[in-house]
Amino acid sequence: MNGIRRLNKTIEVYRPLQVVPIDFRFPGDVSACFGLQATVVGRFPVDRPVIPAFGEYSLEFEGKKIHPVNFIVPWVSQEVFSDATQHRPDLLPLAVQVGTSRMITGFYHDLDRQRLDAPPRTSDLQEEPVFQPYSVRFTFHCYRA
Amino acid sequence: MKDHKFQLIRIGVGASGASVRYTGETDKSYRRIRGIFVALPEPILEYGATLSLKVGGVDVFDDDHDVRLLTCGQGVAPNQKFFLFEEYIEASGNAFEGRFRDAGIQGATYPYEAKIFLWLVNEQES
Repeated sequence: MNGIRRLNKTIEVYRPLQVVPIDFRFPGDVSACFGLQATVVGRFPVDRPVIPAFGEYSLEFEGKKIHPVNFIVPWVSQEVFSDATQHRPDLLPLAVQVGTSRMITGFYHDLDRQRLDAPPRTSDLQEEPVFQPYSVRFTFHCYRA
Repeated sequence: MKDHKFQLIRIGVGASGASVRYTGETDKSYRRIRGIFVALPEPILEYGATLSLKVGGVDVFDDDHDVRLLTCGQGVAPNQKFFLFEEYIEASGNAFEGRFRDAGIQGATYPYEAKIFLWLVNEQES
């Protein structure tokens, strides 16, 4: 093994139900991608400590020749989550050989959970919850060539 | 024979949104970096904080590597707190460097100290 490289790609989400395109290229020293982690980066006034399906994403490798991933991204409240529970997101295993194209394309789709999981309004005078922009960070675990 | 060491790197974060560079050398009595664990004083600080790490000039964690991937809750057993490296990363006095970025979360308390623990071992490359 020539070593492992962990590459990060961050996208920004500004609107509910937004579909954000993903389009980038692996650097030249990457030969294979063996795992992927996706995390929502943001803090929201929702009334649940964990939202299992906050958004969903789809990724294609090698210029859309390989399509191994359609998955969901959870959101976890760091404050409310149980101290006794490990909250390191697990690695989604992949086994994608990186060839000549090196292109990764796809999209992330917000599932509007900020509105759906907002605390219930206690009066008609209370304002509707405002969408908080957030980031989604993808970490690709790759073998070096 | 000394087989394990948990080397501590302290990073002082003075203000919201600070980006702090750190450098150092691994203990030369140990051959391999087995794992890493990052401890922040408040869980709220974990939102969006990032850490990069280079050992011996080689990228281990790219810029923007989320601290949440390198930490865990207080109730986790000490030996399970660490992110374990699958690859062989030479310790043996190797120089390391990196950058910790605070995400500037509202409601956090400043200044604070981020602690990085490197798990050093004396096992051979397999």
